[in-house]
Amino acid sequence: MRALSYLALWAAFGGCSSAPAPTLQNQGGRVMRRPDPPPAPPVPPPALPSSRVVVQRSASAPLVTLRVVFQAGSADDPAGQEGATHVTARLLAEGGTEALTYEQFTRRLFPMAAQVTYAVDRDLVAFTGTVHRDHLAAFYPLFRDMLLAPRMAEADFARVRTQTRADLTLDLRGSSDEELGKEVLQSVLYRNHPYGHPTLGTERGLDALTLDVVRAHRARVFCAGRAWAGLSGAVDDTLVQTLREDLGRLPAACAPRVELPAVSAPSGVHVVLVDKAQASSTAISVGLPLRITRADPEHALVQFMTNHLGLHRQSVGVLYQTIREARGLNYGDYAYAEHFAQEGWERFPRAGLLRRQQYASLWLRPVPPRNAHFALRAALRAVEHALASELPQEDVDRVRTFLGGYVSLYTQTGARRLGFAMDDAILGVPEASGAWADRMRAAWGPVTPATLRAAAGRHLSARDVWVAIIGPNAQELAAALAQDAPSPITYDSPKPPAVLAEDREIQAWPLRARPEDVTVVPLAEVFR
Amino acid sequence: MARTRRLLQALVAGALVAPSAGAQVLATAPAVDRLPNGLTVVTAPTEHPGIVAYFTLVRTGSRDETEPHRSGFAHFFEHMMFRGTRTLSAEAYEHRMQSFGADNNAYTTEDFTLYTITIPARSLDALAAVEGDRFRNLFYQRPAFQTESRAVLGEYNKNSASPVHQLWETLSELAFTRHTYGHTTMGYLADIQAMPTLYDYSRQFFQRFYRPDNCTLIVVGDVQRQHVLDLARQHYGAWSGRRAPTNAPAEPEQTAPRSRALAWEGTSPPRMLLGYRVPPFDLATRDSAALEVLHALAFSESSDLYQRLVVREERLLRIESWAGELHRDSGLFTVEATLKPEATFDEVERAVTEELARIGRGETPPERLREVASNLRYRMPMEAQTPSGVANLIARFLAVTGEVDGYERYHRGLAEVTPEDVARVARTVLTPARRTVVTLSPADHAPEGAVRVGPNRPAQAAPRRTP
Repeated sequence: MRALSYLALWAAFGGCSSAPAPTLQNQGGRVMRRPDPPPAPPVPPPALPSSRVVVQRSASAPLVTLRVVFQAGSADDPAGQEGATHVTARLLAEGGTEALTYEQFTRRLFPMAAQVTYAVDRDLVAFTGTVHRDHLAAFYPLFRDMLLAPRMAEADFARVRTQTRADLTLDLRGSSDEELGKEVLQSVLYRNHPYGHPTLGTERGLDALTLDVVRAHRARVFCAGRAWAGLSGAVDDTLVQTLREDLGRLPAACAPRVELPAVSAPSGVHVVLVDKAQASSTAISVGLPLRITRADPEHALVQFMTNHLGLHRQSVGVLYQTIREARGLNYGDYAYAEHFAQEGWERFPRAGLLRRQQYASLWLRPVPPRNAHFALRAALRAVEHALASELPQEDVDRVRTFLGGYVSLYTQTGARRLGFAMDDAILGVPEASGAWADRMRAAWGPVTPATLRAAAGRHLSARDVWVAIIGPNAQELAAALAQDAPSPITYDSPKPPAVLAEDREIQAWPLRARPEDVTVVPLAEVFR
Repeated sequence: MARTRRLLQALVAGALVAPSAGAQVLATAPAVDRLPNGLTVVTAPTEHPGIVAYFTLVRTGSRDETEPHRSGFAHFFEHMMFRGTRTLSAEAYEHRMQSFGADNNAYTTEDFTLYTITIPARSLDALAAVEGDRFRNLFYQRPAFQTESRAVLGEYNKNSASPVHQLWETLSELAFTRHTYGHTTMGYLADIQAMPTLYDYSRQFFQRFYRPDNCTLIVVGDVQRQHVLDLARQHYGAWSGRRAPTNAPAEPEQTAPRSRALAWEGTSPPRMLLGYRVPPFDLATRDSAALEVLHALAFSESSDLYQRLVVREERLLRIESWAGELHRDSGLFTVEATLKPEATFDEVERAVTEELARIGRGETPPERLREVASNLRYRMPMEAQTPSGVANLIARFLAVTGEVDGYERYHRGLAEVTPEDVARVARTVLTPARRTVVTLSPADHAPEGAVRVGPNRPAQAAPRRTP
């Protein structure tokens, strides 16, 4: 069965298989004609170009990481089939191979304690395998077959789709208010845009999927022309070459990448509230589209400013200090210059999140519902103040010193170094330019209060933003927002006079959201 | 900054390792020194150029919250440790940490609190000075204390949006009638709400538990033992005092199954938690290690039960377990299942019971047990990839066993677990009589008598009885 399927793969994607060799015919003892020379072996498809392979050797590392990244993502989901890329990727990772059922596949990985993960974003999908080098030889064929010879069986497809639907409706919509807020923000920021739905898809999109759709989708987007490969650890040239050749056998006919329409910045503050009656607190996300990505020189400056406003899960940022530290309104408040997801329990960013279009965002962790209006004002006002004048030189120096040290913590493992290096390769950054963290550090070196203010002012805003709010009493909050009503705050503990004085400014700070730009959406309708 | 009990359980579950015969977890054994004031200093040089994990372990956790209405206080106090000293304001402390490029955080569990800092190695000397000052001279005013208590409430609110939080809270409450493991590390909502009034108590808490003999400095990465020891003497040498004793009340043996049904006011698949009372962690017997093997054998993704219920028959969306053996006192081996709507709690309970009985009869093929041993052995390098991973490993076992090489001894113990050990703990520890089951259904599908819970409404609205 396995051999047959490989033949089918050759036929379908090799493109060069030779015609059937003429048979030697013996009629009446006479040789009718000379036999043709033995058929030439089929010309193998071209290996993945070496420019698409990143190798980070470490002879002493106990672990080996293999990483294959496709320039494919939920942006590739066909209209009406939102979730196709996620389900396809998950079916590859959790659906077994032609040779092994998923159960057998899992059983093979288990004694090695090998980890195989898939991660889907808007524009990239990453498959990563990490294994102890003792088991590399046994692990490699499993990893290869996951990508090249997936089983794609009906029962596995049905299970994976059901689980994905549960992740969307029960986890994201049901019990992850903060993550829901971030997804709702992107859905309004990217309305009528390939980035406008969660990678998990929509209910209707998932319902419309069939195994045939998923098979076809795999051939369109998990194809050789979109693949990048990476290896780290104790890997030799033979393995590198084998991986390149194997990935050359991926489906050859890639669909063209989806064109992204331009995204216009909102004019004024636009708010969408998701009414979640049973929530005990209110989650808030704020964002705006950016004209730049990591590839642009100004990105480092915008990154510097958002890190000053609120580096992920660190307490030093302006937002954290304003909302949590001085007022105790929530658990933390952060700002981002590109789409962000953290790596497991680590607080550092994940690799594999490059997007062709980016957005900046604020994440306010849940606040008491009565303080939601105030917290939103406090955050936007803090951003406006940071953008309105030059940061003192000593603050710029302090943030620069911090970031210079902190980014060196991003890549402590071989797997993470590889992930960031592959992001660079996909961006087209020459290896000689150094690692991402080093380049960022170099770019932050010459930052001055003036250059920072100029760049941040060009790309960030507190006045033209989208706001997504998940919480109870949405109608009431919507009315208050539309009226720009004052949002006084009271505390059950004393606060310093400076805080109280600032509160008086915050509670009256005009959001200026037009009533028609404040909308309430029932929870059940979100990502339906 | 605390992780919930569930997250802790996940951490604990991931750390245990079955070695090849004679293998060490770390290539070089950490060095251990003790200062005259009782502070233990552990140094573990590893091959991570330019990076240092600087962890401070305090052997106090929610287990020590033995007084009435003090649930969650160890975790709250962890937050206060970021609020400055007499000579360094909270803001100045943050700025100092920023100047080091530090990743600075902490978390609290039932048994300990761990302060976790990772820095570029060049900042080590300056960091030691700031940390020594923080642990000796912590100081904050009442308003800062009260403000921070509201951030803790925000953390509770963030957690309570998930029905899983309610399941764990209820399981703890039901499984422990006297012991402080009966409340989660977060604490009860009512106790959290009352925290602003406890400023004076917080000062006592610092005096009682943040003492050198209750703390261990664990420094891992690009470091040298003598240099770390010199820094410790310089910056912690003047620290004094002795830890106050606490006696967590003994929990009686559980002799009959317990259960409670919850009705969730929101969207959720049906979920259930099964908790089995297990003995306190013990390096002297093989029981604790055998429980870890059993958990991987019976409930990992490669297990028969998982493959049947999740993959083949699709009765569950998920099932996972935590051996729960790494606790100072008797804790819980837990199994969490997320059901598809057509599945019933009874059938899951039955399937788990039957699987444990099968293992208890010694019917596991030897080959399968070898696979589990191999898995546990090779999982370790994944845990110990970074300085902070190594520091975490050392800290968690040290916190529970009191021994710096606890993880190493446990590691050896895992290799000695026999098939009969696994069968024995399945037979004698994970029994229905020692089991507590909590189920959670969406409110419109809940059984009669289910306790209604939601983000606004914890199952435990008032503090439980306290000893």
